[in-house]
Amino acid sequence: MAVKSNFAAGEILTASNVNTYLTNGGLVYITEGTATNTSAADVNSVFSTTYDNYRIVLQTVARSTLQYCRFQLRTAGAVTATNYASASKWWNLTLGNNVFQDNDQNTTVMTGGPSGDQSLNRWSIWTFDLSNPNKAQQTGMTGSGTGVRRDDNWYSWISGGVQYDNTQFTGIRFLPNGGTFDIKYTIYGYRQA
Amino acid sequence: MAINTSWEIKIGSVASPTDFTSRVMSMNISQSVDVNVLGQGVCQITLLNKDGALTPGGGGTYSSTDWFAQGVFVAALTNTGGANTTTQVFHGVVTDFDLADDGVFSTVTITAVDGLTIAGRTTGFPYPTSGPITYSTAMVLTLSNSTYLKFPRLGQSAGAGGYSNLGDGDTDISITTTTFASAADLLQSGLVPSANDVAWPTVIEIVSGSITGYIVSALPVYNSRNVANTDNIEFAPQGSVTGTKLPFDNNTFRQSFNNQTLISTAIIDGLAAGTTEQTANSTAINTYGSRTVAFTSTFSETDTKSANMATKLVNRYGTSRFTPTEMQLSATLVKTRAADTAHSKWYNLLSITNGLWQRVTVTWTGSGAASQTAYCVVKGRTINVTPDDTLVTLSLGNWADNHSFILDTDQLDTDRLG
Repeated sequence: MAVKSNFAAGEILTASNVNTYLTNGGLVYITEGTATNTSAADVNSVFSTTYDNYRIVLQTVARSTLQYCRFQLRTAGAVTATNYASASKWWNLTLGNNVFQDNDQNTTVMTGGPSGDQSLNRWSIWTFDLSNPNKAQQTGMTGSGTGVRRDDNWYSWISGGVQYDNTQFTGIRFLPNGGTFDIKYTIYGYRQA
Repeated sequence: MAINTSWEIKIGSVASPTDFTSRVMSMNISQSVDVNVLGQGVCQITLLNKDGALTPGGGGTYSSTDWFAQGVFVAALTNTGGANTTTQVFHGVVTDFDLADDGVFSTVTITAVDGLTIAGRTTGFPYPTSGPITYSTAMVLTLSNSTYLKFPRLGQSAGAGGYSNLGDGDTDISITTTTFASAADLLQSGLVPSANDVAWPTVIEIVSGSITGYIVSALPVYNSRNVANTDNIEFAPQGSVTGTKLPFDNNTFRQSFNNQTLISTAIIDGLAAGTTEQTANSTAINTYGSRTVAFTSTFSETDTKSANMATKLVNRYGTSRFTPTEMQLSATLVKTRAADTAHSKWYNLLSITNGLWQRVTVTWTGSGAASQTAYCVVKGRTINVTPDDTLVTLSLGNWADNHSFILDTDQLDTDRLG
């Protein structure tokens, strides 16, 4: 993000500076929303030609069983549930286990880490970037998060993945790996020149 | 105590001018500045000549003086009971000498204009080089070019101009070797509009090399003073002056619409860039009719910059406003109404460098109306000095239209970006 670090009192603000440092830099808020006790929360019309890359912040609380944070990409009419290659690696914060563990490798969804458990009053946050979801090329994902599983252990994770289709996706579906969860999401676009 | 004001008028060489203050019967100074034009200054001084000392060929002390080779140096002396603060108010070169003598009583009226006006008369000025250059560098090269720009030497071995940027603005331009009709034409048609400069001649002083330097102060591109050169001045009606505020005469306060200076279409062309760029504000044209300004011999670097400049002019000067245009104060009013803490505001207002294109805030209450506060910029002034008093009349422009947004000072949705 382009940031002019030395704006100072008394300095003259020019249109050129605004164009250089504000218009062409930073994240642009697109939308946010919540869903309660859902097994599939669809968000449509968020990816467009305006931005190439996106930042998504997802907070989850699982209502039942062991849940993972996941998503699938959507076009106007349907969810795509094939041709993913994604995985996450976790380490256990509660037990001080610094060894990465392979978890939740998947080909039908993009996957993150464990959702916080409502019964334990726990939460999770997963922040990830998407590259080119609305371009006719493959979509990439990279992110990281922290959350607690039903075993009351805290985990952090890193996640990555790709969707191989050259589809111009316009939306996203957030879903657990079973059961339901409560979510809050915020979606930003990476501002570009 | 109170703020006292007196004057010091010297005429002669730049190194050692003679103090003529005791002969001065009256003095009138007129100075003006604006965007895209070179500022000018004129001073007219009436000197007592009852002793015939100034009469050419009269046998007096100055009977053989070459008046048109002399500089005029006017300073204000102000104090609050202690030592004087000396502030330069006008510097120029004598251009007229008018003797009135009926055999019993005699006066001499000397007229002086700023040095740039005289040097600008140099004809056939081709720019000595071409290509991309910063605007400020081009101004320095032009003003200091003694081959073409002939400044009176005022007793030194040479005279040359200097450029002093009081703001932070500058821009790249592209110059050509086009021959202009005069140096003034080069500056006025070619250079100054290339950076939307607010430039005006200020002091004449001995500079490096022991030559006579004619300083041109300026605010290119953004038309805003930087922090070091800013001294915002607040005015209050003469009955309610406190702190650092200065009083003004309620009876002389004038407001008017600015429709005479609206710009609805701007046409800009760079001699090197090539294409004429035009921006029009259709809303303003449909409402007020077309009011076009054209600068078609500039050194704008690119067509894109020309287009941006046209857009800037139309955006800045396309709004009809009812705004303060004139106000007057006097040395007596300052002495009787202003606190000592306003001393620096007073002498900065009188200063030729600090007093022009400075922001002033005016608060007043019209008949039957609520109190209003207006932000203005000083675009000109006349200073009338008589033995009785000093009257300063300020010409004001709208602040929002005539500067660039200053962080931590200005108002969003009101003031403009540069």
